[in-house]
Order: sequence, then structure tokens, then C-alpha cells
Amino acid sequence: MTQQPLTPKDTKKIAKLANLQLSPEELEKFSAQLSAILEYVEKLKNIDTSNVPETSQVTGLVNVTRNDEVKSVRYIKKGTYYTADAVFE
Amino acid sequence: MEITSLSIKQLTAGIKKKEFSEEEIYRSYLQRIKKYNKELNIFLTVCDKPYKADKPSTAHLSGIPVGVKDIFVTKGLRTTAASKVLENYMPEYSATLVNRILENGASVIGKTNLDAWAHGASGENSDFGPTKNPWNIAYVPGGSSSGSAAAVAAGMCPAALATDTGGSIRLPASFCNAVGIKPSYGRCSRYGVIAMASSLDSPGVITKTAEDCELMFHLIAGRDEYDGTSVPFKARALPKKIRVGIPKEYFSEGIDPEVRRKVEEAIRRLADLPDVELAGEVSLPHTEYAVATYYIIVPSEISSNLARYDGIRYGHDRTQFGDEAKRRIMLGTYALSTGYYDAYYKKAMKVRTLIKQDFEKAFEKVDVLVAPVSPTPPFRLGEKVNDPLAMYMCDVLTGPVNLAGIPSLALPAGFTRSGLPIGMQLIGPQMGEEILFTLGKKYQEITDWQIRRPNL
Repeated sequence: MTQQPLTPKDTKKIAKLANLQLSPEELEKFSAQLSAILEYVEKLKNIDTSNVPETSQVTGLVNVTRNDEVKSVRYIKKGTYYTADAVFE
Repeated sequence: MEITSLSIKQLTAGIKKKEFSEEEIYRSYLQRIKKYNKELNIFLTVCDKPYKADKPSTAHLSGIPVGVKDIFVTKGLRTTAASKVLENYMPEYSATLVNRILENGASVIGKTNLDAWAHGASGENSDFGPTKNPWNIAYVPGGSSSGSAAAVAAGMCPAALATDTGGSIRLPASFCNAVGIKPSYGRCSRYGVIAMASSLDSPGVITKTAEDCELMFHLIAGRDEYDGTSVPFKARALPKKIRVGIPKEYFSEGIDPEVRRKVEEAIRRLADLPDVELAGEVSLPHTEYAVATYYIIVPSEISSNLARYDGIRYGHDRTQFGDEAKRRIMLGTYALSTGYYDAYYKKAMKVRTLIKQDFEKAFEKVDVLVAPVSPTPPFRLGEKVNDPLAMYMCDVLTGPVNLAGIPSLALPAGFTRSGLPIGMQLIGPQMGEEILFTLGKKYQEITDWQIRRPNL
């Protein structure tokens, strides 16, 4: 797969997925800039990774849990937020 | 001697000998900030009164004013991430690392400028204007922890908290003639650090000397129950003789000749030290793929982490994002979208494994790798702002370390002919910070780059 440059239409679609609103000028500018970056990262295709596992974290920690305790020091003080009457019975 | 040019060790000794008081120290730094901040744009928020704990549990940092990168949340003290989105954000709690320095008696003197959301290598992506390099105001101080490094260099605080996701502690430290530790991933808590790329973000500290850096590091490091990815670590034992390796890919043709010469000179000095052995060249063959890997993984994590800024829970809405945040959010959104996930994100995670293995193999033969931090000396303000890819290439020698999750200590290694700082990095195996500090301190005993100060 060779990366085709992004068109403003492509960029508009990505922006929508990312919940960003872009002006027509921004769509032009970002299409060119993002295309240049995507063209650069194409180089990863030159490496054979067929037998390589993925790395998403480096510590090797698994299933980190904490005790299910309430800590009063972590309360957020009353007065910093609105208080509302209970909605559910 | 000027109070503002002293190291933490010297300040602490001075307080003990009653040469000056804690109040005098704070006042001296504050005066310097008032005098030069307008020109250098280093602090976004300045604490006219010390921001400190009522009853610190130790006095290790008593009387030491610390700058804090404005990406660490500070209870009741505005925290912006240098983004317009959060320009009025007032946190309800403080980051663990901020609490740790306060518990040890330090005070926060202010919040330092950065590339917005820590996205950048020059400091120029700040929505509140770029920080200037104290060594020459026409040049960038490096990023993203631009204000933290410039503050230490300009004598506005003896130490500053910072974060490093792809070089953001080491680049500005090297551009400003400061010392900076990018710790092993998980050794310093991320709790309360506004998230950029959660699998790489490494909070750490910038100081004037390796000795100070070690002191600060040991006070902030360690498992934090509020960060599930922080590691109950075991520090590596110090080897009797430190074997120093030279990663040949880090001295390739793309490296500025002056940078290369200075770092090679530093390696010769290191090799002369007792208990240090030059183990020769090693190869990290996947280095050339690191920037591409980094700029898939990092934007992917960013697109997820910055999705929460919608104007409902925090600050302003998404129209307030600057260009670089928009670019990274979109790149990540694209790399994670249906049909592209395997070709980009999954592929990058596999190459990340190869980069990590390169280092693991190298550390079977050596204890420390020595390399330049940046391929070039500091560059001019504006030089790369319209070419995002050129800016990304600044991370070519720092990003691989983050992908592998290992520590790296940036140290001053000299100056260009035009008087701009050049930095080197000592890269170690996971949890090998102690080896880096040991070697860094030995190097600074026989060199004096770290005591040079810019003329403001």
C-alpha cells in the first residue's frame, strides 16, 4: 500500500472523527502537512515484522489494583462544586 | 557569589551556615524572574509568595524554590498546559511529584512555559508565546519543557520539574546548558501530569548539576498508589567498572559536525576516568525507524487523551486547540481508524519491540551508551515552525529511549563557536539511573561546563 496524499475531503473526514472544526484554509494546510508526515512514516513498511510481538507498555506490570477504600484526603471540598438535589430515588 | 547562580547543594549549605536565609533565597529568585521574565517568557504563573506545605515531613529541600512545568496540576494554582483550552483551569489537587517536593520542604516559585500539551521540540508551540533561550534570545531553548530548562539556566530557580515523552527534558536541558534526567518509564509517578502519550510520558527534573539532579530524583521517584503504571522498582547494582559504549547510529552523517566533535571529546574525557572502560561501538540498527514509530504511537495516544477536552469538564472547547495539537489529534485519529489501524498503529507497536530489543542487546555488552542529545545545536526561533516534519526530526536521538522506556541523563558537553550550548546524553538500562548519576558526577568533577552561566 502506497500512501496517497490526503485531500481536503479526507482531512475533513478525519477532523470530523476527531471532533475538530477546521476552516477551508486549515483543511488545505493540514492536508499537505499530514500527507508529508504520512509519507515519511511509510518507511516502516520496509521492516519485516511478521514474527514480532507488539509492545504497548514497557514495565511488564499486569492487573494492578488498589484496595477498595475511601480516602478522606481525596475528597473534593464542598463549595468548589454545585450541589444539586438527588435525581434518583 | 550570587545566590541565583548556586546549586541546591550550595544553597542548602549556605542556609546551614547562616550565610543567607530561606526568605532571602526566595526573594533573590523572585527578583530575577521579575527582571527577566518579560523578555524571556519563561514563567506563565509566578508565585509572589512561596507555594509550600504547612508542615513538610522532611527538610531535604527546605528553602529551595522549584519551577514546575505547567503540565503538572497544582491545587489552587492555575495550570494551563500552555494551551488556550485550559487558560483558566484551576486544579482541585496536586500531582504526586509536586506533593513530593513540597513534603520535602521545597516551595513552588511558579509554573513554567512549554509547547502546548508538551507537543514540540522548541517551545514555539506554546499558545502563550515562545520562551527565549537565555544564552541567545534569537534562539529556541528546546522543548517541550522550554520554560523549565530556561528557568534553571537563567537563574530563576535551581531546579524545575519537567516531563519527557520524546526528548522534552533532554532537548531543552541540552540547549540551555542544564542537566536533566528522563527517568525509566514508571519510576516517577504520572499522577496529576496532564497526559500526552501515556505509555511514554516520563516525569523528571532539570537542575544545574548532576549531583542536584540525583538528589531531586531520589526525592521524587518511587511507586505511587495513584499511578497504576508506576513500578515498585529495584535499582540496578553499580558495576565495579562502568563500560561505556558508543551507539554508532547516533554519530551518523546527519549529525552536526560541531555537536559530534564536542560529544566525541566528552567521550574521551569519560574514558580517562578511573573505573570507566571504553567498550567501543555498539549498533542499534532500528534507530532510523524510531521517529516514524514515535509519530504514529504518540499521536494515537494523544488523540485519545485529548478527546476529554470538549469544553464540558475542563476549560474551553476544541476550537481553542493550536495547530500542533490539531495535527497530532488528527494523525492519531487517522492511525487508529478502521482500515488503517493494522498498517499504522499495530505496525508501529511491532517496530517498537525491535527498538526496545536493540537496547536490550546493547546493554548485554555495555552499562551506558553515550550520544548527543540533539542532532544540531539550538536553532533560530521561527526556523522550523512551518515544517512540522523537520521539527519532528529533532527527536531522532531522544525518541528511541522513550519507546524503550529506559533512562537517560542529559549533561552539558560544551559550546559551539558562537557560544550556544551542546548536550550529551548518558543512556542506561531500565532502572539504571544510579549508574548514569555516578558517571555524570564523575564527568562533572573533571569538567566545568555546568558552572557556566549566560549573560542576561
